[in-house]
Amino acid sequence: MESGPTPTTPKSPPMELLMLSNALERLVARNNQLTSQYSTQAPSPSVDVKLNKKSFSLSAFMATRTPTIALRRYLERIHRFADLDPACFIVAYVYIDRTVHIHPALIVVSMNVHRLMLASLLLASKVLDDLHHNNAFFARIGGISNFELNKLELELLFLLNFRLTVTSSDFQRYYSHMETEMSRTCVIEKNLKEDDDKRWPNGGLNQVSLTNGPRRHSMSPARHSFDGPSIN
Amino acid sequence: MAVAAPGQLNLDEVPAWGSRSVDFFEKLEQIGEGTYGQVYMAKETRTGEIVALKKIRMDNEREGFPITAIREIKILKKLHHQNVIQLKEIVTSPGPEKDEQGRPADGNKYKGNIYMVFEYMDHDLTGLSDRPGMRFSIPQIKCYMRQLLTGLHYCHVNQVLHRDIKAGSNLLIDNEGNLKLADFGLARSFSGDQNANLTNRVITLWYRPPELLLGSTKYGPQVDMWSVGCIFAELLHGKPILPGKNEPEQLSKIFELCGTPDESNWPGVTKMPWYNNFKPARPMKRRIREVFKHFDHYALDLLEKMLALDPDNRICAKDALDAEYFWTDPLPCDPKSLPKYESSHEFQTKKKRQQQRQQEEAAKRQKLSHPPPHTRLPPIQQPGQPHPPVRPGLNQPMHGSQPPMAAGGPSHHYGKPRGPSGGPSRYPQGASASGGYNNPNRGGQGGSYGNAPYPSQSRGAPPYGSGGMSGTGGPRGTSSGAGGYGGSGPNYPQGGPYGASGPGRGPNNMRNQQQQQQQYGGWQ
Repeated sequence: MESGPTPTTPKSPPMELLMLSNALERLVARNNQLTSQYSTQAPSPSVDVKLNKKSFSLSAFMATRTPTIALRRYLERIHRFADLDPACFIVAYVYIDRTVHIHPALIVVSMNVHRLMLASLLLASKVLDDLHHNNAFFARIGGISNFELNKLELELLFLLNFRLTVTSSDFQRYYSHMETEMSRTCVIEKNLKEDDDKRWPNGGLNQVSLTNGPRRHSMSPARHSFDGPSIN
Repeated sequence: MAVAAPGQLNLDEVPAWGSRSVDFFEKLEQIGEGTYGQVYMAKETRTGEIVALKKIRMDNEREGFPITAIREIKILKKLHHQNVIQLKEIVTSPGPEKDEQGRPADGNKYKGNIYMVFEYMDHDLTGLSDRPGMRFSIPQIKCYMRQLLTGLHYCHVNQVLHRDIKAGSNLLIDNEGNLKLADFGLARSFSGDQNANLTNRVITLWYRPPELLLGSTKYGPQVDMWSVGCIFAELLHGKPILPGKNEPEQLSKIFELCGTPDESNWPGVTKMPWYNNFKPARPMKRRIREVFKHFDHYALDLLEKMLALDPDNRICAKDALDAEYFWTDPLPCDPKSLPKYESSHEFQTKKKRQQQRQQEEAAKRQKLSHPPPHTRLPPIQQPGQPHPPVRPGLNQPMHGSQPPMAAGGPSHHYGKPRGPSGGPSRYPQGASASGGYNNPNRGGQGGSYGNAPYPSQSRGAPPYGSGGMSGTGGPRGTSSGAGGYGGSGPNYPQGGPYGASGPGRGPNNMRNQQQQQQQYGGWQ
């Protein structure tokens, strides 16, 4: 799988990362709202599906409380250390989307999205990159234990029914979908005219700038410790 | 998959892999030892079907689910072809452990083992060709080669590089004569533009093409074709043709046989990453036709194109299938006409040979005479002698002067029918719609493969074997008989070419990094 059209530099995250983060944030926002309609408390972690007496759930991915690190910063952190092929961000999204299509009752919410992404990016990297980092490394940059990541990896493989192939037409479809989604988000946010926006030069989308919200509060890359954020 | 209760329909049944337990199978015998676990022959208890169970080793915590297994599963899920091993499903075993909280790990998949379930194949190519007294006939070799190329062509069309084609354990053969590509643990998808950086630490050394040895990271399906060329020559020659011990030696063996590369025969070679490290001291000329002069000239033409140094000049699988070699007498035989042999896997033959060696050593200690070392026999070479007027579609490879093979052994422990060898052809009329290239009758059919019926066969005169034995192709074993190419002798200490003490079938770097053990096992 070749990388997307956006060249990456260490400073700016690749377009694919922003597209993934945008798509997931929208998904999570929608689902958080949905689940909170049925419960006054935080999104319920016990969303299980019974299928042939075997229970499929995302409970393994659930954090005990919503991780404090914003999803986009979390992805940026993974990217900075793991130096993933940008195509991994698209493929990781395909895996998440596939999972929720295979198991429609599984709901991606803010409590499980971090772990899901970590496992999904790990799989994407194993599938795509000839040189890849091992689970121990991914676990450290993802802020969970090696043991837990191994468990999540298997969990996701079985949820996906081992359907790991992403054809180039699949890839293109998802890529353009995510790209469109993002340009739509950008237009909306632009219209909201948040004055504290930092403009972000954007290689993939002409004439559209991205908001740079979470980044304002982020530490410089150099100040990031290797031993990762707590996402419990 | 759950069976619907009486009166109910499982309409929402999802054929979920990993949903069945390994308890549905009864392990019969270990048949291989791979990079990521043992391989067993097993019987599905309900249907009695014989399968191969490949256990996925999960003991390396830092690596997690082995990337080789991920790649193999991913690729085999999308490949469906009669010359590619079929992955039937994935099963799990619950395992007795408890989970983190000490609760019993009920249905806790990751606690137990994970197995890939494959169709069972009786032999691997090395196991088969190393059988004592075994000698392939030319139609048999053509039959295997054509199946190998057909399977590989299918992979390449689907943008999959195998990256570990070797004569040994990765080419499996069943007792219907079908050859299937297996072990896709190093395989990967490629995109047409060849922009991706790929690792050059792939393919077992003896079958590794010069561009990888020279450090190329942008390569394509041509790497597999080099390996096929090595196997082709090995089948005809009776032993591996380029048995290098390490990478520099591998390259020098290639240069000795194929000549040294330069800008005229391989534009760009001098800019290859490691060219300067391995630059040949003196130019050598190409000697394929000289070294293998006992091959017939169609075989040589094809081999020359497969072992082209410049990958851009190397023949592709599709063109190789069109080569005259496969369309001139003796034609490839029908797989079904091939003799049936008792199951043989490299793993087992190695084990047997190890036992034999131990006995020999014991005998030696008692100062008894030494049994002759095992040697593989090359085929009886066919110098293209005239044929009987009846066009021989099928040939009975077991005839006359050929050494007796342990053929037609009664079907052993698992109830697969093993009829007498070489019954009348039951080659389906107009079959192989998906195969495309499986039909040797290409005359007058407007160039379409796969539609014409198999030519009617004569079971009369055996065209090969008794009559056509040429002087050069006799049983080898004392010397290579081919001008002493490559100093083949010393590479096979005692007990044949695959001594278990050596580096197996040539080191494979990528795997060796992960696991020093292995090397054998058709089902890695």
